[in-house]
Amino acid sequence: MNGIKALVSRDPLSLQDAVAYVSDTGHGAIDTFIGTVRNTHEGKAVTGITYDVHKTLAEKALWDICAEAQGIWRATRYYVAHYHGTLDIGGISVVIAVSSPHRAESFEACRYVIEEIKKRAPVWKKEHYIDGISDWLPGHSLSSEAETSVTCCGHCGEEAHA
Amino acid sequence: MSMMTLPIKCFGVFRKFGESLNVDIAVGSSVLEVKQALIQKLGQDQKVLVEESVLANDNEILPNVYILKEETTLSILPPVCGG
Repeated sequence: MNGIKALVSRDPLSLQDAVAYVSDTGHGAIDTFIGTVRNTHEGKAVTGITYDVHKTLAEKALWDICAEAQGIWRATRYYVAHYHGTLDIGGISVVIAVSSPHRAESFEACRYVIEEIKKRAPVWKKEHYIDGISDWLPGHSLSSEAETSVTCCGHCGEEAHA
Repeated sequence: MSMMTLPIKCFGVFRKFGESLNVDIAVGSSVLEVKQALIQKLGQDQKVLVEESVLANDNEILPNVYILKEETTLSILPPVCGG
């Protein structure tokens, strides 16, 4: 499938790279999402986050999510990058860009991609707190493809798309 | 019964046990049996975490019924929280 670039990187993520990849003369909209490290979590002062990643499976998951979105919102292009390593406050952990002929598809597809990443990409966060303590955050259990139903776009009310 | 040793790479919260763990198990065991062996190795206080985690090879997440016929490197993937 064309129009998808998915990667995990230990280098700083680039919004410019994302926008450049999805740019298309036939597309009149580019929606972007940038995930950054927040300075608090549940009332605790955070100094940074370490992102642990299974690179091979994460890049596959990111690509699969984009391919699913492309199946729902046709004629869309995707760039998604996730950071691997430790970031300070304000550091960029994820960059997503989606382009489409009209704006509605870009907004919806971009939202779909980030929500699915949070549930399905093999990425783990270890938060570092101002008191020197660090904790791995809880998350969503993964499942094999054989045990997973296709995720709905959230608009049609069906359990799964055909 | 023929035995094999499975290296299991640790991710996320499992890194507290090191970069990887070795599990000795019978050839032809299922992924579920590997998880049960992991619980035996790590202790019952890790039971819920192991049960909520999945095992994977470098290509895919393996269902609990998947049969391991030869030595191979696996990964233990705890619940995820990317983004």
